[in-house]
Amino acid sequence: MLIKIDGFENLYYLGNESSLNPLEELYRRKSTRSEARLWVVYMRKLDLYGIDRMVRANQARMLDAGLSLVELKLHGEAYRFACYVHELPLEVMNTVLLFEFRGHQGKTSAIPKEILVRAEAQARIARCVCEEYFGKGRYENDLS
Amino acid sequence: MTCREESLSSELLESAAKDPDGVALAAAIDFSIDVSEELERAGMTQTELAQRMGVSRSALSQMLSESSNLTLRSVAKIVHALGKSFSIKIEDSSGVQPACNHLRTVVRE
Repeated sequence: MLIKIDGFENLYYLGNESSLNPLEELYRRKSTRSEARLWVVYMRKLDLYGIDRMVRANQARMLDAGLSLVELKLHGEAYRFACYVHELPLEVMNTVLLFEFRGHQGKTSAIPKEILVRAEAQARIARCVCEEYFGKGRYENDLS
Repeated sequence: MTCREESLSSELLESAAKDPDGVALAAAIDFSIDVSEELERAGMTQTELAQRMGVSRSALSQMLSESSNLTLRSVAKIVHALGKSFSIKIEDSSGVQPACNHLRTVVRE
């Protein structure tokens, strides 16, 4: 099921009736409480500027254009979010949060293969769900 | 296919709004957006900007990536190399969207 996070224009996650949204989940764990606060701020900026401008400003990174798989980056921290972006006409972009992970802060920004594989699999699921709910996205022709 | 809406808890929203790291992060994101748009307007690449600043591209990238640890000195160097000036404005937070808009770095001509 697609779940919209209220208070944001186009922010969603995949879950079921009982699942907690990923930001609340981070906030409930004492060790990731401050991370949750930063992500709320980040998501507000994502709402304000949109994914394209965030990517151009190096605040997010396109991992797979064909899959619309994007890495959201909290610079200065190792916090990352994998997300799927479902682009509709009139530049409406719906962002689906997939999962949070730890990234590299060093010169190498490579993502471990197992994380990438997991992100790709979840992005495909998110795309199917979004197409069913919103209609086909603009990236459909890029997909193999 | 169904879609339900879910709100974030007021506790999370309020603590995010009051978090100094969050306010710094918001200002740093605003600044990086401003820089990328100034570069586009000027038809300049990050490499060219780094050359103007007398630093390597990776050093510039590092500055822009430090996010909430971005220093005023780094901001000044970047803005100067863009041929702009900047000011920091303190704004009234009442009635403003949570967490993000209390502090705004303004890049000027």
